[in-house]
Amino acid sequence: MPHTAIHSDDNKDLLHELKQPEIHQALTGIIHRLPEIERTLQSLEQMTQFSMHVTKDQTTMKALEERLQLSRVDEESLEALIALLAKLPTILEMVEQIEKIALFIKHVVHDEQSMEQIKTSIAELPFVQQQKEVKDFFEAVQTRHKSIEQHISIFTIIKWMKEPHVQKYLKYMQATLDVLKAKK
Amino acid sequence: MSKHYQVLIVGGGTAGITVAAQLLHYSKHFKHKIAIIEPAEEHYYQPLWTLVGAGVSNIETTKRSMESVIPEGADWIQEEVVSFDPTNNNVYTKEGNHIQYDYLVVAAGIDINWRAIKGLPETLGKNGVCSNYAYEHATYTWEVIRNFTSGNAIFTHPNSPVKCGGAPQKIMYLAEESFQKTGVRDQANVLFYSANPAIFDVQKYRNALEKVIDRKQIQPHFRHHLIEVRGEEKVAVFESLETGEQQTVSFSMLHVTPPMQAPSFIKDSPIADDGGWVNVHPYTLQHTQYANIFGIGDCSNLPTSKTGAAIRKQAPVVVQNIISSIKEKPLAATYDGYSSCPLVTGYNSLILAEFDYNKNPQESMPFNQAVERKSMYLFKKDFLPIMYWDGMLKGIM
Repeated sequence: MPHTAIHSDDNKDLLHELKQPEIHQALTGIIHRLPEIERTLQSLEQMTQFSMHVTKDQTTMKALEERLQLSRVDEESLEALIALLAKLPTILEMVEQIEKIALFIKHVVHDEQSMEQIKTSIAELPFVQQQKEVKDFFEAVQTRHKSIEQHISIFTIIKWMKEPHVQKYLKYMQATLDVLKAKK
Repeated sequence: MSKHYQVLIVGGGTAGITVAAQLLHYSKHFKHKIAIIEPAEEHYYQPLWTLVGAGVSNIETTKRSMESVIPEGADWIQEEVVSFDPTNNNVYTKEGNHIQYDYLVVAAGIDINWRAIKGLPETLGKNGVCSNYAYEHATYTWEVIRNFTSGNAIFTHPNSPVKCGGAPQKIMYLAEESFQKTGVRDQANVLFYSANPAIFDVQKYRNALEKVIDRKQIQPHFRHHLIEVRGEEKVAVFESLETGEQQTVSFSMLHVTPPMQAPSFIKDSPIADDGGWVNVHPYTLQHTQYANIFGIGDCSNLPTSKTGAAIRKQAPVVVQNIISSIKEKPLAATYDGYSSCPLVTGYNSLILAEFDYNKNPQESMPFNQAVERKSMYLFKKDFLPIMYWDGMLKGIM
């Protein structure tokens, strides 16, 4: 019968396939792993049953729903999340820049030679130098003041008048008075 | 002995260390998959040698051990490369080893050829002949400047590509100001012999520098290069590049910028162009023939000024394009030829030149950088070295 002939051909093909070494090897592997497969199927079944029980448990479901309603996550939050996702490349760029700056500062702070260099550079800055000069000047004046024991008389003040520095400032005063006079 | 690395970097100078650090900063995946081949024990911050020669910086601060700058996660192979086999992805060393790579970054710098000038090696470091282009000689420049009393003070720029093209004239401006301070300026002739046709390539900064030269009464002699030094006689011989005519000039001080060339192991290799430089695409920095080779810095044939600032802009391009290649994506990062030259014009003044392949200014600051500024001088002297050691060499700047 033609029908039987077809079946016979199919079986032949099947047997031929089964004789292939890779098929044979695969089937052997599956048979060896059958206990493990059975355990996995049992776990899946347990999980499915658990989910079914939870959904049928009205009390649990109601509590879960209430907790979700209390949560601050709403439609607006989800929209914000989507908007934030769109901005992530820009935010990443900014974070990377901040990270680089933070790392740079960390490296500088841990680099003894650089820190030494910074200290030297700061000390050499013009305004730091000026501040130091002013401080030194006042310290010198303070020290000298303590060591002066002589009485300051009118003659001492007249003697000061000959000092170039005093003359310079007096000239400034004279010039200021002249300008003020001229403006009147 | 044979080793294999995903990324192999030839050279532990500014470019090599920066590329390694940036790759490691990009991904921890590269940890110990990167190696740097570098025979030197020390790493130098050379831009400060100008100020060492001018007596305002300490030479010791420009040197650190190579070990201290090799990024964590990169292997240091302390050997000397002698040849390349790009077809088989191999690099051979003098020590008899070969190292295989997936990607090669050639960052071998530039060689100084002191011997190209007759009599120079014998007299350098004495007889008033100095150069800021070597760690061991930069301090002698200051010795010559501070002891100068009268005569010709000559500064040279050779007929070859040089690293930091502004350095030959920076020390001249500083020396001139020092002569003024010590009261010997009237007894000095400051002469600039340069192979270039003008004081600077970029018109905007050229205009500014021409004014500096006029103000300082410096005598420029363009299209001339130094060919011989007779140290004992204190005589320098120059040749005109246009007529070939030779000129003998006596000197009290001679600051030499030596001729430079591509490292010989590159010059004679299949990765070099006709001039001996690593043949790379000007925008992607990928080798024109070997797709897994990239060239960066002074040893490449990029038509821009060879400076550390240029490397700062080239390194991210090389890094991004290597990563793109690994991910089998098209090379998207491009380099526009940016280079920068902080032109010190005196103690406390500097013109910060920044420009691209087309010699167009590409300034970073919100003010006219062609104006001499004290702030920019302090930026070079005090901030740039820190930015170099703790930013650039750490792969974050």
